[in-house]
Amino acid sequence: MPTDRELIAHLLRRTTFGPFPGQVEELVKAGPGAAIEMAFGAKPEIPPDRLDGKDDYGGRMTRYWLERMLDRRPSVHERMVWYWHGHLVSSLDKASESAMWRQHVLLRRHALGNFRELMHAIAIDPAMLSYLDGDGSRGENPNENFGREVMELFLLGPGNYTELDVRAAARAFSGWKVEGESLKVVFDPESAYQRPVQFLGMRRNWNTSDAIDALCDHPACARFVSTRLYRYFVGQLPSEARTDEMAVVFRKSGLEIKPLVQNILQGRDFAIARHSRARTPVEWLIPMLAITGNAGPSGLSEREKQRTEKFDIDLQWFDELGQMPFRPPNVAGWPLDERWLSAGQMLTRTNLLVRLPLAKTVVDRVEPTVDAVLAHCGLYDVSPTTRNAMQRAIDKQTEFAEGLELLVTLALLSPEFSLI
Amino acid sequence: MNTTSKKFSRRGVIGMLGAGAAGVASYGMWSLSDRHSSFIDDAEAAARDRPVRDHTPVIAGDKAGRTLVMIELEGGHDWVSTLVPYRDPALRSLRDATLPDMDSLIRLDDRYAINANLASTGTGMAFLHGVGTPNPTGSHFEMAARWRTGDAAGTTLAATGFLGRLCDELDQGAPVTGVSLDGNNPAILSRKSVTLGLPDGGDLEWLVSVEPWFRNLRSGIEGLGTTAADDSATVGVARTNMGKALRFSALLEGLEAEATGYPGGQLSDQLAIAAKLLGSNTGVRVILVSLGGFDTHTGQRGAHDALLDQIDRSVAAFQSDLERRGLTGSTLVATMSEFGRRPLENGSGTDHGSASTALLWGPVKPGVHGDALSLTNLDEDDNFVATMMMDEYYATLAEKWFGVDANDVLATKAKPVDGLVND
Repeated sequence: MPTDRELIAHLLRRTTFGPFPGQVEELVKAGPGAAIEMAFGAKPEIPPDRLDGKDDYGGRMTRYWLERMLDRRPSVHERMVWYWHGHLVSSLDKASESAMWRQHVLLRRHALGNFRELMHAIAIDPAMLSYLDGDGSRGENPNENFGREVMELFLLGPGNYTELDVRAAARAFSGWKVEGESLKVVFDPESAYQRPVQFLGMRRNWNTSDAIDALCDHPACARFVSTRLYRYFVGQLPSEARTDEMAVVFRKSGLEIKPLVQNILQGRDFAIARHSRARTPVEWLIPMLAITGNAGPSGLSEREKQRTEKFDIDLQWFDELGQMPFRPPNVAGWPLDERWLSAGQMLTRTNLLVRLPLAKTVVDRVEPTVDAVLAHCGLYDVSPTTRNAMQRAIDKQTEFAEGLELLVTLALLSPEFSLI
Repeated sequence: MNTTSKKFSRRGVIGMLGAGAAGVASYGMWSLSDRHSSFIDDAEAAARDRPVRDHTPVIAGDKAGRTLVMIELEGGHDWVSTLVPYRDPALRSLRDATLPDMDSLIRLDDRYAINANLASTGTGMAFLHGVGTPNPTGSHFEMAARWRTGDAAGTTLAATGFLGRLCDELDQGAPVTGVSLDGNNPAILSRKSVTLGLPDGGDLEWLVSVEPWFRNLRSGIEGLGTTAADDSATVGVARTNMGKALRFSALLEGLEAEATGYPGGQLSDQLAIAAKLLGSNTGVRVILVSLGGFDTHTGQRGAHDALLDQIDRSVAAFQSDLERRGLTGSTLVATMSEFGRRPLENGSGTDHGSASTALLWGPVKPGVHGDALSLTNLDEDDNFVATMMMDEYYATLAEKWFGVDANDVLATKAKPVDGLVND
């Protein structure tokens, strides 16, 4: 049986961007049940739709987001905002900064809300219309990009529609335009497809809203979305029976996201899947910044804030490791597979760690022992191999601060920390 | 920032060492430069992981030193805008806004002309017509998986990639036989040879420093990279890759820092590293690089032209670099792309299609090879009907270029193309 510390650390790894130093100890008295309730109860932060200030290629809005991720108050909502960015993908590579910000606010609004409402909103979101070429797509010769990806990657998964459905979907989604800088989305009936077409086995006049509803009602939809969320939180694919169970929960609630996520997290399969999927760069960098004391004020306790200067997070790190928020590599988002454990990734992470100093707040607080450093990093079930490697290294290192730096570096590179 | 770190006080000295290092650290049948002797202990320890094997070259004769640089054109490459069928009467009924400047085309023969943005390398290139797969779909991800795994039909996608299996056949015990400069692209995944995905060279001073802190870090990482019986499968992967990382770093660290004559940009940067790897006798035989942006649903003309220009200038610089190193005759550059574009344009762009044309540079017979795609005889999805299967193209790279039996790297029997690459 895992200890409460192990369970809470696991819960925080999967449902927040922690655990941050000291957080597991703070929550252990209340227990895992209370921790999960607190994480679901967190108040969502919804900023205004308009991003003020000059276009800086996403710099300010990325920092805003990273600071929310670094917030020590556990929030499943914050984790789900990040999840949807990788599922309902758009990117600054094609959409403008102001459009991507508006989409970000949209995802914040719906992150734990109703999935159907989220899909209706995202289908005519300015950034999505730019990113998947719905903007200006005309019914007579429609652009298929959104029509295809919305079925393959957002709603149904491959095998649940035909190439003819892709063409029909493209017609159903035609007729939208985004007006310049105002980002006003307008529908032009003249340019939309106005005749009957066969889509998902039904022949009729289709518009965007009907097509989204038909896709959400498709039997594959609840299963597909449940499977993707399960894989994200549990780290592996669900069994057929588990998929059925989740799909029933999801459909019965009228496609409410929160009960589905609660169902996934309450399963025994979730509790035993500790350290089983690779940490993506964002999932590695955020706690790493807090652990080394480089997180800026939001990652620190009130007492520590008094003693630390403001630290600017270097966005370059996210780029070097291959996961820059607002810039997913393609419409499938970032993979969750073992590429984040590759030799190249380990080299790049090590390069970063040896350049990054430990803040004085960390040096003052943490003893240079294997146990103290592992707890500081939120690691409670660690293999003898990893412990021995750390112990042998510290045995050769006599100077206090250097020894601590060595232990923290090795802990952050260990397989246990590389796996979420 | 308030810090007590001491490792930074050493940084100046170490930084100079990293930037100025010349020659290459390697071992076994490769030369080992003196300045990396501090690394020998770690490197040899890592090398012990590899089983003892016969180091006799698998491939004998002229093909022994041959190498392949594969460029993945990500998004779906439109052959019509690259190798324009300028006299085909059907062309204008399919394409208008997406056509490149027709007045500046470089004519190859009375049917095909090259996009003028391939001015530097175009006339020395080989174009292989109509390469596709059985039952193509319009999914980027499915089709990219087929091309990367080398499974044209996509029915039995292997756990290894086509390039990775080539490396398995070419493996002579080198520390690294295949490198992807496109991260962990599955095309390079191998069964027994060492292949690695690398985002970029990075700053690897920590690997060579003789300072105790760095030596302790390295031995600590080696400890973390030692597999144990009770490791889960995923933990095992993490540990194995740490060992690989230490090994590969020994190679990269020794590479010269400067590359000259390259235009800059994604492809150019990757080819500059590729030339260094190939020129340093590291044992690397296959390198995968990539260029994104071919998914031209809108604004195709300008986008495609710019991509070809980037390819042309980057490959030209790469070829000059190879010439300086005496590697022109032994290095083949080839492309792969998940699919071509739809014959009928959609306005300013084109949607996902099927077959396309493969591009090759180096020891090739210049000009057009294979059977042309018909602009009028389209399939039920209004896409081009492939005249050559992906595995025939791959069989050509395996047999004609490397002398590797195609049956050893492809699940299907495929006949290589004659006269495309120098035998």
